[in-house]
Amino acid sequence: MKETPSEKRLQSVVSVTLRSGVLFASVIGIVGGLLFLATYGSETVNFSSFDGTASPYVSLSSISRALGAGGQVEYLAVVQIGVIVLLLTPIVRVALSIVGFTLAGDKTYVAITTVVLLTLIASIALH
Amino acid sequence: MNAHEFTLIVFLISIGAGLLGALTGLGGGIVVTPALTLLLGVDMRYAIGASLVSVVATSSGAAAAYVRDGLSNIRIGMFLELATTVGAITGALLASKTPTDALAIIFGIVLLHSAWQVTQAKASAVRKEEAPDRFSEALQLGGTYHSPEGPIDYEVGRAKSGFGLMYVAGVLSGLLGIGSGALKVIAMDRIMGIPFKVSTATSSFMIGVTGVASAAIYLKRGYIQPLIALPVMLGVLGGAMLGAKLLPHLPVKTLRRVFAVAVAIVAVQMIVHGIRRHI
Repeated sequence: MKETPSEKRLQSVVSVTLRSGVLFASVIGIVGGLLFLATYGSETVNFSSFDGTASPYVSLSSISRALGAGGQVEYLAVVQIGVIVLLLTPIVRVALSIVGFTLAGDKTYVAITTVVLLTLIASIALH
Repeated sequence: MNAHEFTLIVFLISIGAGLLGALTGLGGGIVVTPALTLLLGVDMRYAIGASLVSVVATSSGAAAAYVRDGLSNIRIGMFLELATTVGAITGALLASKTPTDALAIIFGIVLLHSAWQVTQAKASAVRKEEAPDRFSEALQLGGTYHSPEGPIDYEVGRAKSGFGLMYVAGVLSGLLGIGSGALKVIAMDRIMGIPFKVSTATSSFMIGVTGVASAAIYLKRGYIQPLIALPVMLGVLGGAMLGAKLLPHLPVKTLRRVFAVAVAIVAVQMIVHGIRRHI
């Protein structure tokens, strides 16, 4: 398929968005991580036991509670926000592809890509 | 050990994993999990959570370059993502029901296959031209890519088999927190007849989307711990960038063989630990 100028431009947009997303996520993570290490770096860590859903970083609501809680949990909650930003980048990418296919008038792929996006959103709703 | 030591060690291991990934095409994730579980005694579930984060990071980081160069075929990718995302959700839901020992054994087997994969010739010298099936034609799956010899057109065959294999790749991704890039490239390159360069580029972009399909479930179940995920993510990204820079200057063939052996040894360790219920 030959590329049209607008397809090329969309590819640039996708490329920039992905890299910005990764960069943004990394910066947030590094800030939270450094703050954590500066204050709690000498605490022992033990990841051999699994807490599961008791962890304070499992959802947006638990993370926002952690942000107000102070202590180790607050800094690590910031890091987790960075992780979530990273995890959003492919979702944004899929959404941009829908835009691209719409601009190209490609109804089949608007449909296919929308199903993929809905599947991703459905995974968020699953328990 | 304390947090300083832990994050530093994880970071360094992850740089190694990223380097290994860039040089072998294996993907950093597949090395991170055994390192975390076998070396640092981290619970398998935390390990696969961190691994998945790194897989998404490298996918978004690397895919940016491929898309810009026009190598990824977005249509093929999206069409196949219909299968991989559903597979990934299935795999992630299964992961919580699977005892960690069994996960370790399955992981070891997949790792063995990847080690073998790395030693295989990169692409068949004479690529069998796949005739496009009607399905592929209807979905416009063929394309053109720019090679040093000029633009090359290609068509896609056996789309339905590729689709089925992608579902399996998705399940493995969700179950083990890996990218399943190797399996995706096999499905595209060997079964669907898509040129190797396009297969690898498209797989690289797909891996992130597949990863996110399981990530929400992993997050909710508490598999993703920020203190582990962060150094893994940064390390693998850094290692992959370093690896990409070093790649032209290194004896890749020799390195691949060395790595294949090392990875195979680790694979056996994972299986043994799983069987002995040490993990």
